[in-house]
Amino acid sequence: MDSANDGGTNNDLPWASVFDAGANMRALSAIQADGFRAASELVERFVRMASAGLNGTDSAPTSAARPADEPNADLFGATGLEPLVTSWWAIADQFLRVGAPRNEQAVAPVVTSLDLATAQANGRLYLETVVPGAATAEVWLHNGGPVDMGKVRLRCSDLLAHDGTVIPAHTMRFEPDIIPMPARSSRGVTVEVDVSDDVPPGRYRGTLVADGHPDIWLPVEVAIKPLLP
Amino acid sequence: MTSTADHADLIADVEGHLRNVAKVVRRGMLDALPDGEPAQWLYGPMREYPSRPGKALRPALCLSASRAFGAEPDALLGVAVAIELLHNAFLVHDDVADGSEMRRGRPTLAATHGMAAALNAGDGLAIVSGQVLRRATRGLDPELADLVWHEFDTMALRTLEGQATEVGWQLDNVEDLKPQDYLELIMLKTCWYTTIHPLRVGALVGSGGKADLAPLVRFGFHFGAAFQIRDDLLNLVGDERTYGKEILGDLYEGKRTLTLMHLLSAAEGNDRALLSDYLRRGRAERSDGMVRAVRRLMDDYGSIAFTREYAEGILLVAEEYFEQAFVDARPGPDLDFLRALVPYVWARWR
Repeated sequence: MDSANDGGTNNDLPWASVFDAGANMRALSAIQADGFRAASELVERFVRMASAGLNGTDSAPTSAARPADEPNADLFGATGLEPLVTSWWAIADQFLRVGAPRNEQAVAPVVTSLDLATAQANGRLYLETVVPGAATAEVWLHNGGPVDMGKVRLRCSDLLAHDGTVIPAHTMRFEPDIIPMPARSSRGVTVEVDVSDDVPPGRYRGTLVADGHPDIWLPVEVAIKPLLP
Repeated sequence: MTSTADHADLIADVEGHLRNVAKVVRRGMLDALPDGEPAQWLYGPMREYPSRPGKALRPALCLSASRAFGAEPDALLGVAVAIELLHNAFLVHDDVADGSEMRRGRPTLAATHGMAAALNAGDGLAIVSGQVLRRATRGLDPELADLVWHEFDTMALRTLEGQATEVGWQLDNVEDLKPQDYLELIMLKTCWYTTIHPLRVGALVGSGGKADLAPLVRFGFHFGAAFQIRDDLLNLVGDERTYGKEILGDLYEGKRTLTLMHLLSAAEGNDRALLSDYLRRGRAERSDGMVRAVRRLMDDYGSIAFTREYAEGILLVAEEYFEQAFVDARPGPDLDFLRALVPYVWARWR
């Protein structure tokens, strides 16, 4: 059978380097995150195509079988990094034996959210990409109260690096850009930023606010990494 | 905590299961192939690839998914044989299109019988695959049978779309490709027919049309893409004896792999010029020295390391998607086999 070992320089077994500390250190790198995001976005497009079917014939059995109380229902259709971070780490722990320092920003257990009813904000919005590229993250809006909050729009400030370089606010997009928040509802919003190749690598910081809700805000950080470390 | 011994067991279990499936499916394929004249230039060559040892991943996925969703043990054997026959048909034509010299450790059909006989043999395998599928779906509820044929039509078109896209990139000498373009390519030309389709058909028939097929696209792609990228890497870093195909064959062909795409985006100056010149040439005009030079650049620019990391990001969530896709499946050896596939690719990773 095949072997993925490229010469086995210092390992007796072809899979031994899975436990290699160097490999562990590289776990959850920007490149891995890019691979994950690109794959997720592509897959969702094909899921939608397959559900529609060439002539629509397979839509009935696929949709009919979806259990309404599916515990992971929020994950379906999600293309952001956040919802899968927990399972990502579980897998990394199991197969990579990660004992190395973790990237706390990428694995913060707190789900980034704005609670409109209680005026509380949780977590921080962290996006990471290599240049040129696009980074996405997700923020959840909650309205646990009995009152319809109407339509909410998110805004983000310019993002500033320590040396004064700015990523302008207009490069940040929200999907959906206007979010209806009826009583007792939660909505996930994808935040996306396009980074052109003239943006220098570095950490850019800004603030996310919600129009009409002056008391809640979230810190935003976009980490731009060079394509080659 | 997973020990090295557990990983050795896991690899042995998965490969043992695949070998058993391969044996049964090979017999099914050879039984289905006609045996008359012209033997030397049609039915003989048609038996060539199905006789050679293959991984049988596709039929194994189909059979296990079907049983995990409730099918009787051999209920989908015909469907699995049809999938593998069509795969063999694709391989024959693929080798012609690529000008490949080796397949499964032996010369390609085009190399031994010429292009015309190879094309006929490929067509013949595709037609027999259809015959086998028709027999296999005869006993199903007509609506379910129609859905199965629809899955096959979709799969065949996806694969052709992918093949055509790749041919176009090479003929048009397209160089501004990104990793996302590569993922789209392998979704079409590899993952749909290698992992997604067998899983979907197995679940569809096994559940009598009740299973949710969408999560299988997610699991199938994440698993299949990692499997394919690993295969591409083996072509760059493996050895011919264990790989079964010619090493660096993808480079000779100028195949747009993820590694090559990274190199295209990273190479500068003279390196970039060398690469552009290399890609503009036809296969016959690429010397061993040129191939080795491009291969060295892949090390120099970290393209091999990039490929591994990018694919790891895709594989890391495959297990989560597995649990979503098989939440309604029944426990047993088939579910165990399917669940072991992601760890299997991990264990074979670096």
